[in-house]
Amino acid sequence: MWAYTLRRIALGIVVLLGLTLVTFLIARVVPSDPAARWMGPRATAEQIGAARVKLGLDKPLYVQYLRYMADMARGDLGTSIRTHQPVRKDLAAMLPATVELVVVGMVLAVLVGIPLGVLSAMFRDSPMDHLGRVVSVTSVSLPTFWLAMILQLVFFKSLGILPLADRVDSIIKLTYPLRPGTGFYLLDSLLQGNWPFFHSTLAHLMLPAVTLAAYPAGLVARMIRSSMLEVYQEDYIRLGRAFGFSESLITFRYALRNALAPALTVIALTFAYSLGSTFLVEAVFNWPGMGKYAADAVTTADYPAIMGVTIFIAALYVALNILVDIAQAVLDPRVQLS
Amino acid sequence: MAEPQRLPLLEIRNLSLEFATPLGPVYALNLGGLDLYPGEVLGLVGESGSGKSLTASTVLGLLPSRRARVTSGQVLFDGRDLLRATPAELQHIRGRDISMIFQDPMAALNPVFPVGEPLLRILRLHRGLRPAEARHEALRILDEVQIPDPAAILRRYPHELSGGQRQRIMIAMAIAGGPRLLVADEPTTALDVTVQEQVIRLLQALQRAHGTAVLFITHNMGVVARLADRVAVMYGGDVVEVAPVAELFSAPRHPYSRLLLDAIPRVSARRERLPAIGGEVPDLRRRPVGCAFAPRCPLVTARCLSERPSLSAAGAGQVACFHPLAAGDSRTEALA
Amino acid sequence: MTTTEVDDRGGGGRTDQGGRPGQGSRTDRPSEAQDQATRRGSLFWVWHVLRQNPLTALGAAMVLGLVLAALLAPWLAPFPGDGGVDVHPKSQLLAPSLEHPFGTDELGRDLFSRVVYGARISLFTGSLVIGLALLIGIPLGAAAGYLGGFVDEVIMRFVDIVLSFPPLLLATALAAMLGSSLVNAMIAVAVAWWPWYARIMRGQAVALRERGYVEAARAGGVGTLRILTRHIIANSLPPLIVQASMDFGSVILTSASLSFLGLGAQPPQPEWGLLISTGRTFFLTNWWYVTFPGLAILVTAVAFNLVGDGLREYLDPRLRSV
Repeated sequence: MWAYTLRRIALGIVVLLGLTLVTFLIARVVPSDPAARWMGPRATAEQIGAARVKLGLDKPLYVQYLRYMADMARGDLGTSIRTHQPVRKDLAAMLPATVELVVVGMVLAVLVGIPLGVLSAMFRDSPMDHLGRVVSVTSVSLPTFWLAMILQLVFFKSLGILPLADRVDSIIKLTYPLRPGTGFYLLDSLLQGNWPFFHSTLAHLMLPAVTLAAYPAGLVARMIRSSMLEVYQEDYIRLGRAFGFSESLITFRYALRNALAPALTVIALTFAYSLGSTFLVEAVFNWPGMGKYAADAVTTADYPAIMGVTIFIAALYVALNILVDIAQAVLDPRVQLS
Repeated sequence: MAEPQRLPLLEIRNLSLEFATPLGPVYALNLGGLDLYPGEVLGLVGESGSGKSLTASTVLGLLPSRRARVTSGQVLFDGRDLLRATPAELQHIRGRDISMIFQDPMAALNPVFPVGEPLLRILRLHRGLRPAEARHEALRILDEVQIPDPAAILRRYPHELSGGQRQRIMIAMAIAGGPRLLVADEPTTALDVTVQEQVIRLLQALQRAHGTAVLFITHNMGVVARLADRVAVMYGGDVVEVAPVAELFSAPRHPYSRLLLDAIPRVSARRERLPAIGGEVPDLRRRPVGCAFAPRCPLVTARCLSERPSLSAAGAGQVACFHPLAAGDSRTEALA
Repeated sequence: MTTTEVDDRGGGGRTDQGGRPGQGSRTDRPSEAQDQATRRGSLFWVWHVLRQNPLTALGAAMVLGLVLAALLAPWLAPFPGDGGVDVHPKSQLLAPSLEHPFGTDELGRDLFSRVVYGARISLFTGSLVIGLALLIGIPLGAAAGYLGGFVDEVIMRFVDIVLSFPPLLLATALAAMLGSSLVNAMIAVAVAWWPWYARIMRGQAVALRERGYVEAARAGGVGTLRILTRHIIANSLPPLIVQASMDFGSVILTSASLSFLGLGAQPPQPEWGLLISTGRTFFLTNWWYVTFPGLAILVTAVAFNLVGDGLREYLDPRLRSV
């Protein structure tokens, strides 16, 4: 199994290298001048020229690329043109907000999606099944940014029970400040016993997380339903019934175990898809995460930041795929890791 | 071996089963009657599509599709109609009083669990054994079905075992609950010939040791000849003949039985054309009228086409035919 | 095989088989209707599938409605000019009413009319994007699967690279680079989408190249290109069609997202995502502005997803309710 894992990782690295090359070339195509942006709008031509040399932009393209790759091997992702900070530092600062959001969202999605799918399959073609299918189709068809705004309208404007945007209430941030910790506000405030902060964070997480969870929940429910229906046709399910095992045992132990494996791939893919939705969610809720960072990077043609974010997301995606393959092998002993 | 005054363990009466399809109903089963006595091995033979596997599934109440419907009839086990039993009652009976051996053990064993799992579960559910006792008993049963190194096998997954081993495990599961009736649905069909031999011998030994009644479904006449006490021949969803095995093979009464036996390839000195049964398999979309075999029967009469024959006594068995063959007719005489 | 027309209740000595609701004196032959039914082609089955799956039928009806709305926009919209450049400064930001079922926007334009015209853009976008993605993906996938070896490796690595990115982010990046217009957004989404079809096509090509008729064609000297088009691609259509129909909804969502971000359609086009984006400025006080265009996107995506689901069940016999 380790041989397989190493091979997958090697393959992933090859893909990532290709991606860096592609992104690097594309970033160079962007018409604006990075050096000018680095110096700001009031720079003189000389200053811009000097900046160009300093940033290594005068060298030929392939040299720039090789230098970049060498730096990356050392863990240096360059310096952001917009923030003048190392990209790595920027990412580390922005990451926890996004991770917290995505994790909470995905957990919600799985907690809702799996039972929905199982129940739909168990009571196939019943009114409940139809309702479940309508719900899951709808949630897969929702425009993320629209759902965000509707939730804001309902829960903020009409009901007034949840906040509009941001990660935590700004007043709470000042009056009950959080000491620096992991960057995961939920975790930190819990560990520090900072209850007002915790409550505020939780309240602010609700709408964005639900928005994020809608699509994956629907997808998971659909996948689990169709996976379960396929499994129900199998002979070993008939055998379970033939030997008088209870329906709930057959569904939740025999069938679900087999149904989860193929659904797992899709679940992981929706996790990756939700990285895209995160982008939109962060935009609407003004969430200070990677999505916002990426958006700013794109609009300011901040190519080191663009590269950094790109590589990071792609690496995450590739790692996720590898994890899924390994998990499948664990769940299904038939999988030959070849 | 079947004495007239013994009460049958299993009685099937007037069983009609249909499949609802978009093109109309398919009349898959029209079983007049079938009896199985305690401790006997009843072979159920017929072509593909004759309804033998369907009969087996219906006994256990395990209809193969949501579109299958029993429209009439009774399946009496120990006098109790299984078709009208509640799901709870059925659950109680399955695995305990009646159990089943499936045709394809690779498909019937859950691939993500070790093969010991369902076996242990049966022992704990149907024999009320505690985990340690169940394990002990499981090892004993695996021994009885001649599985070497049972302790290791319990932990193995289905794909790690050979076909023969898997089938033995299925047999082990089937006898674990101590059933009085074993429904074996073509248990040797998916195995290669050498393994078939072992499994047949195993089944024989087990049946004698436990006195279990066996409903043995197969299309292999050779296997039937060795294992069965009595044989029931099915065609077009109905039983056309029932007879003690020796009698069926030496003097079949129904024309179809005769043709079926004649169609078995024999190694002989004379080279003959292999006799085939002319005509086609019945179209089950038709409502049953007259004898199901009539269109293909060389001895068909007008009555055969309009009236449906029911089983009536003939010798030591029964036959459903208006003109059964007399014992002792040679083929050419009978079917000229 | 001779048959006679006989009352089916006959049968000497047979106990009554009861239980069947009165079916009178039907003959024992399969009825003419039944015989014809077996000969009936796909139309019968389509009708049957629709009957069995009310949800699919609903989706099909919705798609039909959308197409009609798009085609008949000039007659359906009460203020056809508002789909374009008309402005009515006196009717700014009116709440929904009988005259303006969806309210009006900041330039006084009737939102219902704009949404109806937006249907044209969405359907057009979806079709074009998927068509383009298929156009790129099918040849590449077929070549990779059929030719194998180095070509396969190169193409598939390229596919992996493109797929190593969430599609929305990829499309966003591309659209940002190409410049903000509807056409560029369509191209961007198509470029993000073609790898899925290439993968499916490749899988099919690999499976089909071993088939008997392909080998026969090769042995008969048929050229590679002809083999690819006539045999391989032609026989791979079902999974591609299923995937394409399931993707239609996602493509529309992605395009709308791009427009929302300002990277797609530009004003005054009544594209739904753009409407929501513009409406965002006012939405807390004028709820109708974002609600109705969003509902339109939702309804469209639901419709195509339902149809896509139905198609998938239809083409995969294991999932049918048998």
